[in-house]
Amino acid sequence: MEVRPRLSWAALRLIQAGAVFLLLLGAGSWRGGSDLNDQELESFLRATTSRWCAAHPDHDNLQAVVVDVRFHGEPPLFAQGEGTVIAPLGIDLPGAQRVLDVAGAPAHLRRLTTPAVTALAWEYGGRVHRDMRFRGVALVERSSLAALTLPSAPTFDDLAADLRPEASARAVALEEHGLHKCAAFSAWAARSAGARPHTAQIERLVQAVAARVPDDKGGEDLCADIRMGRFTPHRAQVAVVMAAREMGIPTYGFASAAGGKSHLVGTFVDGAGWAFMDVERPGDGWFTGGPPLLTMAPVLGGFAASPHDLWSPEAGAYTPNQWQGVGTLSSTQWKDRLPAGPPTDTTEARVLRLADVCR
Amino acid sequence: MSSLPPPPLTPWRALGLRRAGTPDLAFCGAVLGLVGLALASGNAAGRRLSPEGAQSTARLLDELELPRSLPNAMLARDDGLDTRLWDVATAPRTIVTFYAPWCAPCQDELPTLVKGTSAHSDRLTVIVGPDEDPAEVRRKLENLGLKDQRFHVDTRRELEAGGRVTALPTTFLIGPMGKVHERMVGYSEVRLQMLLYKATSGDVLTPEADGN
Repeated sequence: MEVRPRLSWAALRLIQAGAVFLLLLGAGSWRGGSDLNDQELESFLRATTSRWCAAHPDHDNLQAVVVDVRFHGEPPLFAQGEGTVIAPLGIDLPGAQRVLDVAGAPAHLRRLTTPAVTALAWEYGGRVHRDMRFRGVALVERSSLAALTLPSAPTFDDLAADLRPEASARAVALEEHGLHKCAAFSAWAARSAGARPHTAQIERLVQAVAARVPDDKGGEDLCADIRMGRFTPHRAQVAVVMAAREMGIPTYGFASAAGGKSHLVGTFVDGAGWAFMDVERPGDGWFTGGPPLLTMAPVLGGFAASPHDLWSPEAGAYTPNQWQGVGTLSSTQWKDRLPAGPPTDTTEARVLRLADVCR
Repeated sequence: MSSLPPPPLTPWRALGLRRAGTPDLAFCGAVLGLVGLALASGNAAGRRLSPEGAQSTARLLDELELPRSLPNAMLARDDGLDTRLWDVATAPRTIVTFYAPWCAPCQDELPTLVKGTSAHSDRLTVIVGPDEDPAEVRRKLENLGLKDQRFHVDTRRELEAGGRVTALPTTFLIGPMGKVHERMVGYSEVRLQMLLYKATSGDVLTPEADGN
């Protein structure tokens, strides 16, 4: 039987050329979708926590930190290039928290450990525009949140000798946030802190930085903030930590995995261990335990693959720069602190108590 | 009524009159399929790091990551004795510093290290690369007032590779069997004091005590 073709040869070629053109056009604008969807991420989380439940039958003080990083594929938000995504997952601080295990989806390239902070690294294959999602999960040992009743005369004499110098290194030695060049800093610190005990000094310092300016105001001039007496939450945290150290108090700034990325200040108290106070909620008083701590600062030597030398826990994509150092390819913002607006690249964290997950 | 003669059959006109047959349709489909395949595989490749990207990313991570341990590398002591790192660094904590006579910050760092470990001289190991002239290293040490300071040559660059040393000075705090506790790249007085503190369990000169 003869099949009668319906098209002329030339029309077929025209259609073919049009189809190729449309394919190319589609490929150019196609973002490629995300590598991982919600369902895959959740099943990865379930599998990981099940494994941890089986491995740790005694899980009273165990928590899983889930850190989600998302880069959007739309231009101009998308940063085209190649590098590595690095997200902090938790800290190791004797007496406060211990990271026991980590897992990543997609499979991570490496587990990085600074002396204090554990982070995961994934490949940032950004030669084509596409949404990219990464999930890091850390199993941490940290006690439950408990209000701390301070002893009548708190001291920090029992702090391990090898932790003491790092925890007390001053602004002049660390050149932290330019405070070593801030003429007003030392006098402000002494005036604001007042007399011992050290916990009372920190409380007074937290009160001294209570006046706020919006997060996006004032660049990074902490010295100007000190002169004006108004601070962003981040700079308030830095001011308290470095002023406490100026008074010889072992202190760190911490970012916790609690939804709003709380700005904590922690010091050592004999008999209680590391005690914490939220710079934004001083009324809550001192506490121990609670949601896992993602980062702590300042750490000696810093960590170049971090937006603020580990003062902040946001993930980012990094690439070697021309000076053999670390350059930022794409940064993220903490999702729970974002004002309403267009979508942006984000990091967010949530916490699962293993006791609840394993039921 | 006379009919016009048919127009001449040019090659283009002939193509316009030609009907597409099954082979044409198959060819058309094959071309579209190949283009689609090429685009899909190109897109998939674009999601992964290129070989160059993977290489530079690995270098970046090496720089960020603390090596777990330093290898038991073959070392040649300045007096010609062959030894290995784990036999030299037997103290609970040992500072291993990579030194070169041409490296300016190393000249600041080494005297501080030597002074800080003077009560525990076994807790400092000075490493130089195989390219350095031992006589020049000795001269430089004497200039620094460290004529008795021993050094070891990393003859096969095993330590350099295992410790991912890409800049000088690089200083490690290690435990037995090369377990790395800390790494310090560059010179920082305060970090050096921390390392000394940890290496010597606290009996170290602080900047204040040293009069600096």
